[in-house]
Amino acid sequence: MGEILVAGIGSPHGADRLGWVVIDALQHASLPAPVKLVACSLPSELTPLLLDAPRAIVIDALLGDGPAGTIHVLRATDLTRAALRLSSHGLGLVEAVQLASALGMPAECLWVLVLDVVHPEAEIEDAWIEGLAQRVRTMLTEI
Amino acid sequence: MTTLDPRRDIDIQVPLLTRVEGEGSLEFTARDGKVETLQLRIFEPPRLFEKFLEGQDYTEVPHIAARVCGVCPIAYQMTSIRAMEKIFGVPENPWVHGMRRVIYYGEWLQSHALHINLFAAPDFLGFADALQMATRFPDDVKRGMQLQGLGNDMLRLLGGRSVHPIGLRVGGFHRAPPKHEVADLVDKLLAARDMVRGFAAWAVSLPRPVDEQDFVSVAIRHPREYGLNEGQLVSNRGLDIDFSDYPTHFKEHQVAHSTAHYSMMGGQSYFLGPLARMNLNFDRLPLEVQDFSRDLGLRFPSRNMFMNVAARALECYLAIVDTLSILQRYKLPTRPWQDFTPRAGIGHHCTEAPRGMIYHRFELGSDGRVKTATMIPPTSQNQARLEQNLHTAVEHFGLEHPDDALRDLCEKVIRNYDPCLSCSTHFLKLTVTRA
Repeated sequence: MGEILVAGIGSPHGADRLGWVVIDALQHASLPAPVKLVACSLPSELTPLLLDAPRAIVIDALLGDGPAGTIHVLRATDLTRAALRLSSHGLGLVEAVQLASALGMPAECLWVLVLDVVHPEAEIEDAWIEGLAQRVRTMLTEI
Repeated sequence: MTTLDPRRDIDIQVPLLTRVEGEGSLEFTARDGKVETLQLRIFEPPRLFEKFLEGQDYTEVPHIAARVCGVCPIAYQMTSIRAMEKIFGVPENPWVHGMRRVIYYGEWLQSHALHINLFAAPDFLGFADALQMATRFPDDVKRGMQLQGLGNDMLRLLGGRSVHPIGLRVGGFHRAPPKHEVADLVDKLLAARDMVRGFAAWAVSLPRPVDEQDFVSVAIRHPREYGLNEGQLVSNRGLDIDFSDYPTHFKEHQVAHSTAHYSMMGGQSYFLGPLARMNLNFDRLPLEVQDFSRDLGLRFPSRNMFMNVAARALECYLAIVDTLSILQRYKLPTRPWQDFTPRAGIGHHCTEAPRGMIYHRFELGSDGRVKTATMIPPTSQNQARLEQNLHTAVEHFGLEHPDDALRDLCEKVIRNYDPCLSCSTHFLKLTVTRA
């Protein structure tokens, strides 16, 4: 079995940095399984990575109803079906996963780990980073 | 085929174009058998990056410039870096030049593969979108995605990451990749050689329309290499100038319907991008790529605008062939950058972004800070040509066709340019009148 992909989706701004910050934290952590850690920006970058990975954990920030810091683990089937708009500006996580699924990525190989930041400009808290990193470590022993 | 009265009133509005980068719309009206309005409206807000750059230290410029575009950050970084190196009198050493070509080829490969695979191919094969196409042609789409991923790997080798890379600096690179990383990428490139040939052959075999147009091609031409990041600016109408002469020959102006500028050369529109490059530089391709092109039955120069996708596909092959030739001779440098002394001055440079030539002009003060910056992206330079192309294509096609067919044609014409509408809105002149 090859390396598990752990991909953090993000951008350099605000709470959207979360995926990148968690990947950075994991790079300095001892992990229980061989992993490929990647910080992604455009979700369109994610599809080729998903197609190459035997199993994948994707980390992203969620703008939800709170409370802030709540972690959800979603499976491919949980992701809301949405109209595919193939501008890379409009190609979101859901569409990137849909495309990977259509191209043969088994739905059971993907876990999406999201943390509710509530507001896009929220300050990223150390507890959020540690919470996500800990969840990744646990999942790596289970999946 | 259904035909309608060509003199009928036609009113086609596409409020949000899909499968292009950024946000724009199409407005098309005709009365009494004549096109009244046929415009690509770019309503993406102005980005104002040129203003953001003013006052910044020269070391910050590559990182800020990269943010103009998530798809082609290298074009912005490389062009600004070279413009500033012109001010500082930094010649490119062979190692830096080669590595700059590698990372730029990575950007071409990821951008071209994305466009052919997800934007253009559904048009030519009659699918609403790539997801629908993926269910019918999963292996073809998957191959395109793998090549896009390989382009991202090339970007990561020297840029540290594939989006908004951080490895480039004035003088060269922050880090030289160790030999084992280069060897890993060479293995991937060798393994992808047949894949990219198959991908290019598939792209060339797509049932592309014929749209013969009279246009002026403009691209960078180099004495020995396929024009990419060094050379002269040339056209098929006799232009042959140094990059610093760009402002003399090219002029921008505003139009009411677009937040992107129009750019004209000698008062006329011109065309940039893969087909323009191929038309002007076919003889600079490695022989292996020239032979492959002939095997596919391609001929350049071509006046068929839809050969743009074939040119783009050939450039995917070029990216892998040329990168291999550079990286298979890879040697670790003593240091991955060259020394220089910052000084005041004005520098100009052009490079070839995936969508065509991009021009930068930087004026720096003696403190190394930016006094003024100008960045003219390919999509705004192509906009006047694109609208002419729309008019001519519609005239050739005929207004007797149903509105749906006319709309499809216009969308295909626009997507064929692979416009990056976000990049194109580079500056908006603001006039404030105070009482």
